[in-house]
Formats: sequence, structure tokens, C-alpha cells
Amino acid sequence: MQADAVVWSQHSYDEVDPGTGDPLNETGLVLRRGFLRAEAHRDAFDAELELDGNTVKGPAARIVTAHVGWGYPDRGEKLVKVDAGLLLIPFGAQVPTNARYRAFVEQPTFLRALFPGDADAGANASGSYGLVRWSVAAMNGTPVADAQWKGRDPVSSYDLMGRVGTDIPLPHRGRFVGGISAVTGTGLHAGTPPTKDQIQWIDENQDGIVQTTELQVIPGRPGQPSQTFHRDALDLDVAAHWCLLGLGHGVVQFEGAIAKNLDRGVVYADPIARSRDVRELGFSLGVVQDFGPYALAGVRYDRYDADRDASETQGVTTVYVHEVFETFAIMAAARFTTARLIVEYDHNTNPFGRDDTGMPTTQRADRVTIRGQVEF
Amino acid sequence: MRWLLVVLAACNGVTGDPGYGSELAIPGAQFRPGPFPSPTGGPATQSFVSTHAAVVIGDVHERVHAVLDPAAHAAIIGLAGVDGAWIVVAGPPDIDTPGQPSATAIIGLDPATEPGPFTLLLAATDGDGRIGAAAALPLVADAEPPPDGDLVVGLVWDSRADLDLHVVDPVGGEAYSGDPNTWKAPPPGTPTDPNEFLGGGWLDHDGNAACHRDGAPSEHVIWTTRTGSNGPVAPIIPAGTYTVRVDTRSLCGDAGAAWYVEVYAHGALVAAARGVSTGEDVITGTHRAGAGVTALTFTQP
Repeated sequence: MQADAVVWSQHSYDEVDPGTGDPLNETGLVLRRGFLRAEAHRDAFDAELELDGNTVKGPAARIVTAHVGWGYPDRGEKLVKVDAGLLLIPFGAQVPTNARYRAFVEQPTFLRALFPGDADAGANASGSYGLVRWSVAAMNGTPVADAQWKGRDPVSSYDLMGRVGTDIPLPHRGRFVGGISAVTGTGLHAGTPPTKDQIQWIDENQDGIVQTTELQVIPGRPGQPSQTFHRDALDLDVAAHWCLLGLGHGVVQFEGAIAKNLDRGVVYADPIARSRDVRELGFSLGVVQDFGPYALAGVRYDRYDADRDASETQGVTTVYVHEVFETFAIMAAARFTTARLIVEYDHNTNPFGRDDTGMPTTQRADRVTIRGQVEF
Repeated sequence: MRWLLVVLAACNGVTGDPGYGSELAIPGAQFRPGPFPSPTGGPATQSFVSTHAAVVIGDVHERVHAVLDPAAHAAIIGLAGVDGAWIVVAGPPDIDTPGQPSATAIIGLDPATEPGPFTLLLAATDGDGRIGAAAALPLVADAEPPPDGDLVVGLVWDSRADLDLHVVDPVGGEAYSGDPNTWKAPPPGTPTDPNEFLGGGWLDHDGNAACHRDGAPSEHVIWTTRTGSNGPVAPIIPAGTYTVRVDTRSLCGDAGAAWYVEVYAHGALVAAARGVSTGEDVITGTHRAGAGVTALTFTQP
């Protein structure tokens, strides 16, 4: 069970959005995740069902994962493991990691953009042999938090992805873990239905009276069929673990991805609408260190360029703009058996504001979050 | 030290304040707190116009449009003397001003805005952040749109007070609640058009009459085409100087009454003035023709 309290948000106001009526207050207490997890194992077979109840956007319940699997051999490290159902997407290192094991409150922005919700339906085969780790998966290609399709797959083809990596033990209880992941798939640009001729009234002089010069005919248009487009991504993840005498376990972790037309969560990538491919680039670098058995702390920096070729017209000048999101997170946590209390400060940089020159710039969005987490 | 750096870093960037508390509202633009910026050698503004001379308070409806120098990338729009402005990205040139960026915005005034004249400022900025000299656009905040008419003189206030608008035309005709038409009957025996009286300036109603409070008290004297027994009658607007006075019949229990007067000729603002009525005005006034304090005078050709 995780309960989050955003004790301070720079982007919080005691006001409602006049368009939607939604509150603009972002400082408050929410049940971030309330997990109920059931696992079953028999011989080589296993099954898992994980449910989540939360109040992030009002009371809601959802399936996090639901899958069945088979593995060989029955016990110990699996040479082959096959799972099918609603799975954490086996891409990179952080997406397939369950939220309760993550040190930081939120995923890096580039992973929230490329794999929103972390889970998708499909089948995954994975395994290990010696130092080698591998996985191959066929997924729907619409993660559960896909901003447009909400987890429903609009195309008949599957996204194919795989990871090849290694896990090397080092002296003094150290470890080196690394891997390369790739995904290729197909997205859909939704078409539009045909329209009839219409008359439009634009009240140019705003007198509330219809004048003939204010009437325009909008000719009907034939329907536009939906179009598919290609998308792909390549990811590198590297982590080095150590164990310091008197302090405990520590890890430094880097993960970066270069992608094309794959943003489905932050700045939706639709190359048909933009008439060009949308190229994304993101990475995160973090360090977490235990301080004895009851405390740990960490810092993480992540950066995400949602459109490396973004430009806009300002007056008579076309200028390149940067749709870059950055987060510098500082985390400190206390833990006792299965309980954790995390305090995290996120310094956010985003392109949602405009400076005096009209260029996109940071709109303040820093926040301090406290998370209480208990596992039974 | 690190925390200090982070806290300082949090001061970077623009505010996330959506600007809902601002007196001026521009949907879709970036709110910019603080006073309107001073010029720093940026691009000039060639023209700055609005669709109407009056902005109805509470409506986000009024379109303003500017033509900017070619170097402009954006425009800052704000109210003179009021903190809080808005950044609008420059748009493509208009057909009739090729090569010159435009800036278009739909503006609105907060419902708490006091009625009366105000000045809208617009300054263009270039890609290096230099800010040009501000262009000023005089407008009037209206509780309601002014009535249609060739010549409209309005008095608007917001209190329980019973105020009277007096308008005196250049030939001495005075319209007020005791005589609601500026037209003066000719001497007896003079042949006259029986519909001629419709051409005068007419008082539309008596606001807060006898302290019976209206929702949004106002009075207007209007010259407009009216329909008589022989068809339409064009307004008779004598050339010369008009005098507008405000008479305070009673404050109806209030300590004072803030009012403003506005004059529109064919929809364009001609003059406006603001004032406050006090108990002294009630005592000294005769509340008949010629009563009241002079709010403004204006001339019609």
C-alpha cells in the first residue's frame, strides 16, 4: 500500500480550471497505489494477478498485471520463462520493475512518455544462461495509460521487443548489470469522417447580429482514412551495484533511449499529423545508497527531449524550440522491515511556459512528495 | 548548500500561475506577473486596434490585433498601471501587411473590474528578449455593452444611490429624468413636424429611481433613428459642445457612489470620465434642469 502526500507543489492553486472545472490544487494527500497481489505456483506453472485501487484522479480500481506463465526448470534460475497476459513491459531495466521496488516515487519522464502505465498485454519469453539475460516479447503496443487509445489496440500487428543483457557478479558482493533493448511496432493515426457543406457564422464585429459578410461556406470534405506509421526505439541500461562496509548496498544506474514516433504519454507522437517523424531522446542517471539497515538516500537526473526537430513560426521567423523535460530528484527514505517512508524533492524543468521572447520555457512545477509504503 | 542551490534553482522559469486572479485575462497566453516591462530597444508596434471601444466586464470576448515590426517574435499585453501581463506568440503577417508579424488575442476583464476607461498596452519583443515601446489602446470597461445609437451618453455606477444623468446639447436642450428629451418645442404658432421630437436625445430610463435599486444601475441619453407615424426619423445631433452632468439625488444610505460617464459616437468612444458622489452633492443639488456636477464636455461636428 502506498499513500502519497504532495506537501508542496509549485504549480498548485486554490482555484479551478474554468474550462473543465477540475481543481488546480496539487498539494494534498492521495492514495497513490493500493496493491492487492495474488500469486500461485505449481510445478512449472505460475499465475499472478495484481489489482490497484487509488485516488489519483478520483476513486479508481484497475488491473496492474494479470498473467500466467510457464518456466523451465521448475526451480531455480529459469532457462526459459514464458508469460502471457497483462505484463509489465519487458523493455529496459526500469519499466519491468514493479513500483514497490523502485527507489524513487516516479519513473523518469522519458519512460512515462514511451511506456505510459508500464504495462501492456502480450506474451513474453525470457531466460538466463550463465551471465546472459534475454527476453523477447510481442505486445499490443498500447500501454494501459496510452493517452489516445487507453490500452485498446487499434492495429492488428504487434509490437516486437527484446532485450539482451548480462548480470556479472563482482568482488565484494558487487554486480554489474547491463543490457540493450529494442522495440519495433506500428501506431495508428486516426482518420476523420466525411463532412457535409456547412455555413459558419463568425461574428466579426461582435454585435450579435448576423450580417451576410460574416457568413462563410465551409465545403464538405471526404473522409480521411486512418493511417498506420512505424515506430521504434533502442535502449541501453547499465547498473553497477556495490556493498560498502558499514553503509550497505549502493547502486548507480543509467538508462537511455532513442526512439521514433513512440511517445504515447507526454507529447503524443503522431507523424502523420506532423507530416514528419517525431524523434525522441531521453535518459536518466541515478545513485542510491543505503545508510545502514534503516535508511537510504539517492539522487537522480533525467532528461527527455520529446521532439528533437521541433520548430514553430514566431511572426515571420521559424525557430527551433526544445520540448525538453528535465527532473532533478533528491530522495531520502527510512525503512523498517517492509515499511518505507520516502521524502522526495523534484526540481522540474518543462517546456510549458513562454518567456518574453515567446520561446517555450520552464513553467514552475517543483514539488515535495512524501510516500508511506507498507507491504504485508 | 545543495538544498540552497535547489531552492534557488526553483526560482527559474516562468510562473505556473494561470493568471485567473489577474484583472486582464487572455486565454492560451502565458501569464507574466509584475509590472508592465519598460522598453529596451526592441521592435516597434505599427498598429494596435480592437474590434470595439468598450470591453464588457466578465466576458472574454474582445479581439485585439496588432501589426508588429519584422523582428518581433512575441508580444506582451497588459493593462497600464496594473501588475500582470500576458505573453502572446507572434503570428503570421496579415495579407495587407506582408513581412510584418501580427499578434492577435481575445481579451477579457475580471468580473471584479471597476467600470470605466482603461488603457491596454502592447509591446513587441524580439528573439533576443529586447522589448519595444508599448503601444497604447484606450478602452472602456463596461458593465453592459453600450446601447446602439448615433450618439450615446452613458452614466454607470454601482451602489444604491439615485443618480441622474443630465445631458445638455449645444442649443440648450437638456435631457434628464425630469425631462427625458433634449428636443425643445418651438414657440407656439411655429409650423413643425409632429415627429420631430423623436430626433432628440432620449433618456432611456431612470436608474435606481427613488432608491429602488436596479441590478446594475445606469442611464443613457441616446440619439438614434426612431420610428414615427410617418416612418423613420433620423436623429438631430446639433453641432457644438455638449455638457454632461451627474446629479446626486440621494445616496440611499450609501456613503458615496463611484460613477463613470462615457460618450460613444457611432460606436467609437469619444470621451469618458470618472467621479465620486458624496453627501455634499445631495445637499447642494437642486435636482432640476441645470443640476449636478459637470462630468465632461465634448464637441460634435
